[in-house]
Amino acid sequence: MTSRSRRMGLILVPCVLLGLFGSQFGCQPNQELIETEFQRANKAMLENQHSEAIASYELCLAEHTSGSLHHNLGLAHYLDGNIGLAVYHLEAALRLQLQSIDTQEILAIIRKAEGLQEPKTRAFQAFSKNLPEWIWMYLALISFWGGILFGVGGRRLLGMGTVARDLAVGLALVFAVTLAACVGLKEDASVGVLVSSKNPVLLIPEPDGETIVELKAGEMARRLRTRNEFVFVETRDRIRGWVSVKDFRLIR
Amino acid sequence: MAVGMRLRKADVGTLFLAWLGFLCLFGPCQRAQAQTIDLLVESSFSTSEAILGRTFKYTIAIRKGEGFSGTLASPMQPNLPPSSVLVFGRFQRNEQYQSASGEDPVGVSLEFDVVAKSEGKIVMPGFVMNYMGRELLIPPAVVHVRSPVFETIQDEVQWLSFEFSEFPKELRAGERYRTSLELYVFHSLQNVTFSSPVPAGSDFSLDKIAPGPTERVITRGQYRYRVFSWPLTFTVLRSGEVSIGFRSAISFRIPANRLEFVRASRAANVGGSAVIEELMTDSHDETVTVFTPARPLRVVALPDTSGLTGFYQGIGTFTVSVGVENDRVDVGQPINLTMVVEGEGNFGSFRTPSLMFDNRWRVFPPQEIFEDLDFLGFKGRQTYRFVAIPLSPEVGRIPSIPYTYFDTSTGSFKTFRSEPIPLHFGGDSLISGAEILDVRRAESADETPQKRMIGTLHWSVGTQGRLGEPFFQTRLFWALQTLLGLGLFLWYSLRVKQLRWEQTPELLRKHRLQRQGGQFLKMAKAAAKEHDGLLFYEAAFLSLAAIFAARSGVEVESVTTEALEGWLREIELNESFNRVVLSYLSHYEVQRFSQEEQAFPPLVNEFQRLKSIVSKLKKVQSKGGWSRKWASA
Repeated sequence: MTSRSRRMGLILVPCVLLGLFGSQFGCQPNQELIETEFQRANKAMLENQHSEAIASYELCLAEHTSGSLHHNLGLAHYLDGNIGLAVYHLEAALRLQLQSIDTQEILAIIRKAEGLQEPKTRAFQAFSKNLPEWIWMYLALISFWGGILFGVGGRRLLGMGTVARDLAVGLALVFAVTLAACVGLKEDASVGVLVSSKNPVLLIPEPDGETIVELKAGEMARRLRTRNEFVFVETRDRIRGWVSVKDFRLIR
Repeated sequence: MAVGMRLRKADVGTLFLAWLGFLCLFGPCQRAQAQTIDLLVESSFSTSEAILGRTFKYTIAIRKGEGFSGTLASPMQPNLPPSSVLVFGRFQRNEQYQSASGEDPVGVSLEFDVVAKSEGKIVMPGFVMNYMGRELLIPPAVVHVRSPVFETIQDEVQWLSFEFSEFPKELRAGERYRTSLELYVFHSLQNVTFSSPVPAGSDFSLDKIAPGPTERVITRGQYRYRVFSWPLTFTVLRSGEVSIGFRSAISFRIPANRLEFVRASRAANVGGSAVIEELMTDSHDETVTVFTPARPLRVVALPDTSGLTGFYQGIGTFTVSVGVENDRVDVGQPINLTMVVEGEGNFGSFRTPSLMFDNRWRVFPPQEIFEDLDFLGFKGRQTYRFVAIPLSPEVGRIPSIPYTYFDTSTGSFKTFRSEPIPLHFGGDSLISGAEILDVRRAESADETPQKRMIGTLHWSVGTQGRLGEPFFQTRLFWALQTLLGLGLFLWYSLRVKQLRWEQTPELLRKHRLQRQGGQFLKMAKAAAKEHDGLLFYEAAFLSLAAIFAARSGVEVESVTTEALEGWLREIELNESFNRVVLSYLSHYEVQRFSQEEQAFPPLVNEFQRLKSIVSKLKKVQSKGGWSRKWASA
């Protein structure tokens, strides 16, 4: 390797590392404050002071996003009688803590008790939930550029022979799988919860528009597009219409 | 041509022989694999290192493959290939079961007692065996046989021994047993190290073993021993006569004079330590594998489990209790039911119980919590937390919940049935009448009934996560993509250049000369700033010479002013340009040979002119028309 290549390596490697992990060294929230507020909220929950608990959890949520926080906030909203927000936070907790059994069970109980329909999950969407999102991200990066590296230059530039071709094919397959997960993540990013107690689905994006159907709080829908103060959604039963922006909250 | 023909013939011959060899080696394997794709066949010796003259076992195991549907028949005694170094003795058949119930054997095995007659590596060759109307290819197996020198000495004094603290006479298939492995090490042996014990044989599974042993010292006869104990639990996997054993690799240092060492090591020998120290000056390290003595164990299959309700593979001695956490219920409201199984047995092998309530209930799978009380998974408390929702007030009560297990103390199945728990709906209390009145009053005042806690709170904030747009729509992702892409592109360019230089040294030389030209130009700039005419014109000459040398295949040092002049005439640039260049050359010549101070024009302006001349000459070169004749001239 020439001295210039070494110099380039010395410049590039820290740049790549900084890019990959730089966000870790960014501005960190006050963990002690979050922890104190979180425990205070839990105590309030045990004393059935749900409104106080919600306020404290929201305070934590402004500084820190975690599955446990959303889980507890969902429970607090449920006990406070706000089903829509309960479902919203529990669904958010599920996305942050993949395969969390207790959150899944609580959601199932709430849906059963409130007569809400189980949401339909598409195949790619379900597939994308098998791994945390950041793993998909690094898989996408590594498989794409690794595939190019081994595919274009592996044989001649690295002198790896047919191994380079095999590696390139393997990485291309990984990238194909990652693409499927990306499609699933994209689909999942459009899913939201209707959080108000009454959620009319309107024929036109006007406040006095004709109501097609009224959805319960906690029902889930897929956002198709947004216009002014209205969101065009598709419900689980494939009914399409407009709901108010303030009634609809995207989970992700 | 003739040589080429011979080579080709030789190649064809080699290829043909290689093909034949390939067929011989893999042909039968392929055939056997194709024939036995639904049956998996293995052969092995009970130990990888056997003692000459001692009995060990040779096992042929036949297991069901994925494609096999049916029942495995009991195999006939096969005709083993004759061996001059292995003597086969008693023959025995065994069946292997997947479940503790003793139904549906998933494998059968044949065991032969074997005695080796010679030392070294002995291969039991593969052979074909008839089984269920087909030919099974039994794979070869290998055993290392060594002399019993160590064991002879062991007869005199037991250097090392490996024993169970307790051992059962009989177990049930699937039953878990707790015992301790004890390694006895002759006290005076030095530098003793050992590996954690591992199971020898496939008749049982090691469930848990203490991560490290406890140590104590005991006296046996005239000698003292260090005893290392590992508490452990194991489960037998099949019924019939099974062999339970463990092995461990042990290293130690022992003197050459063992007899004297033993004498000096006697417990009563007070002055022995000095002698031992002296003996240890002539010592060496040894590593041996120690096995527990073969302990035959009778394993009995569980009685017929058909017709049992609530049997979830529990085998042991347990107490079962069922409780309700909620004190008030309503239709659609979840009830938390807790079932606790406590005692000693095969925790971890239980199937998850299910509540067999009628369709007026909605029942969720339980949350399972296990408290390991002896850290071996043998004594513990298994808690199942069910959530059940009554869908109708007609259910009236929580039905009786059965739980059946096999009681090893009585050798029979025991069924626990919880008492039905009466329920009172409409927010009524299960127990207190006073609370019923309170709740009804609240309902009549049209207050919203308060919801019950339906899950557990999380007590740790948890790690930072991310919600929002998918990662591929974030700036970070695209920044990383750009960074990686640029990095790859740069590396690719540099590597291509490097390879080109490696393949064509001429290119590398040109590159070096171009860099040299750049350095001369810098030198000229510095000289111009300091008004050093001598250095400036020398640098100017050298930078022009570097351009010439780069294309003519000569070194800078060998370029002469005549050659440069000739080149300028050849490339036929305009006259004024040539004049300027020639003036540089003449200045250089004069400076070089006259050794006198000369008057110079302003050198900063001259440097600008020199730069434009160099750039123009480079352009002329790159357009072609270059000839090597000047170099040769």
